[in-house]
Amino acid sequence: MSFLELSNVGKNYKVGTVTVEALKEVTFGLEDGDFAVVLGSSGAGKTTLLNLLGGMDCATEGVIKLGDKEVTSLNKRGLTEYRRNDVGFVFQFYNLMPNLTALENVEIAVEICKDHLSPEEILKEVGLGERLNNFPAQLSGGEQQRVSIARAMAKNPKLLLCDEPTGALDYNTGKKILKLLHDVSKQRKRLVIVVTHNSALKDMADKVVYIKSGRIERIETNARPVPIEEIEW
Amino acid sequence: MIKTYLKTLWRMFAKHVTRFVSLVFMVLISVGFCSGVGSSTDKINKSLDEYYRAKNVGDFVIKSTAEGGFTQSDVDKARELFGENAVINTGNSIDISVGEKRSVRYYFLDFDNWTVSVPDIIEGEKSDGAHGIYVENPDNVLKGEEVGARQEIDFADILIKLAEQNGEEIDPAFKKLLEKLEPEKVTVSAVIQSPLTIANDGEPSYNNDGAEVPDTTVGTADMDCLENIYYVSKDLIPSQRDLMSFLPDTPLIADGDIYVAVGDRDIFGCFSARYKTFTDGAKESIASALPGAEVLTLYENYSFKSLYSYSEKVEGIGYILMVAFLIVTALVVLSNMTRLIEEERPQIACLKTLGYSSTGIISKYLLFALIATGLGGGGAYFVGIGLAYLICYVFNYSFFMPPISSSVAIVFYIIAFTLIVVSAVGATALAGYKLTGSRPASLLRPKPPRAGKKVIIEKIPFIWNRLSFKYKSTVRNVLRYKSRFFMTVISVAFSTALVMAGLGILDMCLFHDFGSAAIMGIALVIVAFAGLLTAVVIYTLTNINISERNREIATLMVLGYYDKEVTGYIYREVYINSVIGIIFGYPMSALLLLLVFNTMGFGTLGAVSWFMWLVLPFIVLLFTGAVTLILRRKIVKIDMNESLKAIE
Repeated sequence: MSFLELSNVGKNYKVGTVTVEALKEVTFGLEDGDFAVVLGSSGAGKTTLLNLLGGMDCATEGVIKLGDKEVTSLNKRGLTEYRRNDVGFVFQFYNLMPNLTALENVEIAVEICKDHLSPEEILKEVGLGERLNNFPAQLSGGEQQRVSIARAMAKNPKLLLCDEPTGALDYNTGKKILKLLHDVSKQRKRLVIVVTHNSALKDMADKVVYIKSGRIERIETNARPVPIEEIEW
Repeated sequence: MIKTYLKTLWRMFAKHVTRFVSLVFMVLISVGFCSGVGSSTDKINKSLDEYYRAKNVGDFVIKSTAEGGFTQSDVDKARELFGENAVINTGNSIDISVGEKRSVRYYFLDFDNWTVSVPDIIEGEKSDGAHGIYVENPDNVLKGEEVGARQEIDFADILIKLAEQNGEEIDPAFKKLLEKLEPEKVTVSAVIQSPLTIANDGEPSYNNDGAEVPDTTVGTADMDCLENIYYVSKDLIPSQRDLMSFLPDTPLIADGDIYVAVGDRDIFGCFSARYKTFTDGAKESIASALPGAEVLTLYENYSFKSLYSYSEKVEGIGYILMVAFLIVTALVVLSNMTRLIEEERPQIACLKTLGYSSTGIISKYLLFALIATGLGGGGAYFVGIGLAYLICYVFNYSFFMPPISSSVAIVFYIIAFTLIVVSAVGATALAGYKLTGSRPASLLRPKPPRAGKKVIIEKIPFIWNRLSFKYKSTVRNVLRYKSRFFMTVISVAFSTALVMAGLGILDMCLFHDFGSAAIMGIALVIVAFAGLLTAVVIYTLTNINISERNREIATLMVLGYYDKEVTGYIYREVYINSVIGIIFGYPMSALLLLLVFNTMGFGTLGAVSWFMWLVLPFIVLLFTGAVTLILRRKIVKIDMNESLKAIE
């Protein structure tokens, strides 16, 4: 029994009279403290998987379990509570509120959350101790992504989901962000899932989930993950 | 190529369907209001003019002050004066006081030659002999009689009372003779409606000591008014011989009135300037031809005068409110189109890089604006016609309205429609060319979101620190886009003022006895239309707000905000804007009311009941609430995947 467990998860979309199988028979498990990478090219079903894991959409079949919570049996309200308390989300385009400062952007997430961490301390931890009162427009892309990560971490979630977190960043900044996410996973013993199409990232992950045409192609476990500093792409 | 381009056009309509609908309604309401209110006055005036012709309404009542009334030569003089095309009737009309501020009028007419101010028979049959009389159609003051009711016409009583009223001494011997006259037993043959007494709230009698005839019910309330009008055949009048056999066969009541309907029926034109000149001239000629005679014109006829005056008041109020309606509509249409183009920036950039001309790109949005305003304006034509009929219909409460003229004055419609179309097209073209004028390279880059910054309130820690976190964000949002903020506040303030204008007039009618039911009906129409306008304004602005903040809303949803919390995020802003709009709406309301009262010639700002001012914000907030309820679905239905998408 894994911490996060998917068994036979499927997702169908109805487009007119046609049913599109976006995900089919997805089964895998991940553990607390894992740094996992979901790898696939565009259209492989990554986003669909992300939506299901993040409680943003409902699976058509199968069971998803996080800890002792069965996500697939939750109703709309239950899913909202799940997103609120159990999942942290890091977006490709940061999605910060432009009219809130860095600190307030973190606060907006934790103020509705039961068991959260101090926003200020988390921001210091991601290296933004000096930028607490800056608005997003006054921050660089990397800094904005750090705020986004801090926002997700401060909720003290069981699961941190990252959607192409380096997609909008330059090479070096991207690496730093990945290092930060990796540290979160290891230091805080959190399950971090990075969804990406960048296959270079597979070497840093504990587990790599290969996804293709809506199916799990294979799952690899890296006995010895390579530190991100040593990975080039 | 054109085919695909047309596809993008079609998709634009589908994508911006709520925006489209709100544009259509906006134009429908305000152009409809302008055309309806504008043409109602014309309709009423035309109805009155057509009625004047159809009933051959008398222009002059010449009343003799001489004992013995008019002689045949006097009547001939009048006929000479007005030419052979004029229609002349003779008879008499006597008002007998029957109580405080109440009189009864007796007309003595030649029933077989009743060709001036011809009445309508409302109920009953034409009288077939001298003993059948007519009674005026009852209203709020006139009591009327049942058809077939038996009555007595006591000529002795009438003559004695008339003499008393005029302060004349009656020879006791003559009085004794009169008292021997038996009252004439008569039957009411029909209830009739005279074109001269169509006002329902009292027709002043002759017993007002020459006081000027007012043009509103406020004025008649204090006057001696007619309680009943009896139309009696001249043939019933006893002659002097009935008193004593050696006296001549002269009627006891002589022809004291000459009723003149001038030949040129075009001259009236609903109290046209030409008619005024003509009337004044005619009065002078009558005075020299028949010295000592009194002349009553339609300017002294309360019914005609007040109907015309009320329709003029409607016109006056209409002009002011139309301007306000059009300003609000132009403002909202302008922001709607400007924001549409800003939202379409990525697509415009794309088309631009593909080599489409600026005009080619913009024409799509121009078409959007034209179709939306065109559709709204087209519908507004019918709303206008309906509203004009409604206003005329409302006049029925105060008047026995003549048949409503089918004429449609489209000048207001055309002006309002043109103004809206021009402002929509102008705003679209301006915003469009401004955007397409920039280089495609800079267009392709997404517009950087407006930087958040500290707002002025943050410098007042006393207030700022007390605001909860949610409100801090709202306050910053409200002040982030200043032009949008002002646009919203001004639009809401204007709509609020329009609602208050309606409430103010309503208050005058309800509690200060000003105006009449006709004006009250107008007032209700204003409240309804201003309320609708307010709702559509808030709908449009909220809708724009939501569609611009899709991404923020989706992010909040991913963060686990409940529906209520998400809608609260947007709606706090909407309500704050509305409240600020209402606050600014107060001075604006005062100004607008002042303007309206001045135009109408009644009512004062100070007289408006305090609770009308109190109820005002609730009405506006009620509409805001209704709109937020309708738009709630739109927010809740936003796809969370919006948050994952690349910034457009």
